[in-house]
Amino acid sequence: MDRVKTGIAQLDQMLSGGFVSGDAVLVAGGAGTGKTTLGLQYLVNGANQFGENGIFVTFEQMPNQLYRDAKNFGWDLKRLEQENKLKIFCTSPELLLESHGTKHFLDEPIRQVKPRRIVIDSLSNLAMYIEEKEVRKEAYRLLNYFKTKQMNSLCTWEAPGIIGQGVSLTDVGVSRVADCIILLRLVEIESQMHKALVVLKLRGSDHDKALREFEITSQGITVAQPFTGFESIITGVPRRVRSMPKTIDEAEANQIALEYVKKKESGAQAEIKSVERQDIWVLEVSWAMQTEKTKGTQYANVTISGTGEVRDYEKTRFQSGSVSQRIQSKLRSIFSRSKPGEKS
Amino acid sequence: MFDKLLSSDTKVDLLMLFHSNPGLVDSIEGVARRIGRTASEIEADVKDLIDLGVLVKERFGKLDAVSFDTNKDKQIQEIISNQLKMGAG
Repeated sequence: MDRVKTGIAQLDQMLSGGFVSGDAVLVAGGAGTGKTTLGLQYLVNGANQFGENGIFVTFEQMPNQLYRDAKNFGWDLKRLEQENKLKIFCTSPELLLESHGTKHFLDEPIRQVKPRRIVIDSLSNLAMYIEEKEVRKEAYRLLNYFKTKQMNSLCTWEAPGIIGQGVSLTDVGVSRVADCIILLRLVEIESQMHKALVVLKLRGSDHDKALREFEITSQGITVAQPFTGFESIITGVPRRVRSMPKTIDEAEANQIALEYVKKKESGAQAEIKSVERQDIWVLEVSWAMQTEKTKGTQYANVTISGTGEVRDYEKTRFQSGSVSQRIQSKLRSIFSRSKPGEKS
Repeated sequence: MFDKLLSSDTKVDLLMLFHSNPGLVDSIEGVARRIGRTASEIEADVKDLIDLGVLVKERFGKLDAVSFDTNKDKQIQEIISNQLKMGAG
């Protein structure tokens, strides 16, 4: 499968090598999450590292702002434009939508730059100019235009809500026309804002499902390790996962069970018969009974917590080596009621 | 040409807008929005700049788009620079 690398090493790893060639990518997130930066980085890396030219279409942000902001990351957009590796277009959404028919607004720049990558910042601006029911259709038409021109498109989508449960991708059906969706979120952890990134969808390919922290550094976006110790990060209001107590291993559980039985049953030489583990250890132990009244094997279940405490102790069955099943049953009931020295 | 180029505040704003953002290709309404005006306010000045060859008009669907002729940018800068020198002298 042909891959289109973003040039952001960790993100490419999450995408199993990069976006799938020809796919339409949607980068969704609230204001200030880094959508435009990701789009620019995708184009700059494409031009500088992979020899793939690009076009950046912006609706709201003026090119001179983009030149200035990009310089902070060490990206010289003007130079790339002079080298005909990049073209930045600033226009109104209605013009991009209007320009269908015999001549498309982007036909000429595509002929000039021969781009392999295009970024639309943002698709949600387009949505402001058309009826809600038309958004999906228009987005589909535009993305297919890019596919026809053999360009790998990346569109940003401003999801409402800075933090909290505000991500809305499906309301207008845009998520269905995108082949890949990356969600960027601001999350509050212990009174500090962090940025989280997750690949929600990558049609036809496996991908990393982990929510990872990312930062916007002086070199652009860098993706870090998955968040650990927290849950519900996607909601923007994560909770710390309660730290689990140390879990003892099977050998430790065996030892605790045997020592407990030995103490409880006056030095019985017990052995482990079976082990079950769920959240706790449940061990069946047995030991030989050699008294005047009973001869055979006694069984018991010992339940031990993850921290090694005996939570429950229950004698289960007694198996006589010499008496019949009927007697066994009788003995079992006597054994469970009587104490040593008592008459049954 | 200098007189015509800078005959109104709107033309100055338009020249500055396109000079700083040569990648701007927009409808007249879109351009007007970017300098805080309405389409009707800038229409005449845009026409003058098109006549001077500074801006280029092209039709896409039902809308006209105007863009900057970057080849003219250097020429305009020279005219303005010369005029300023003459004024200073």
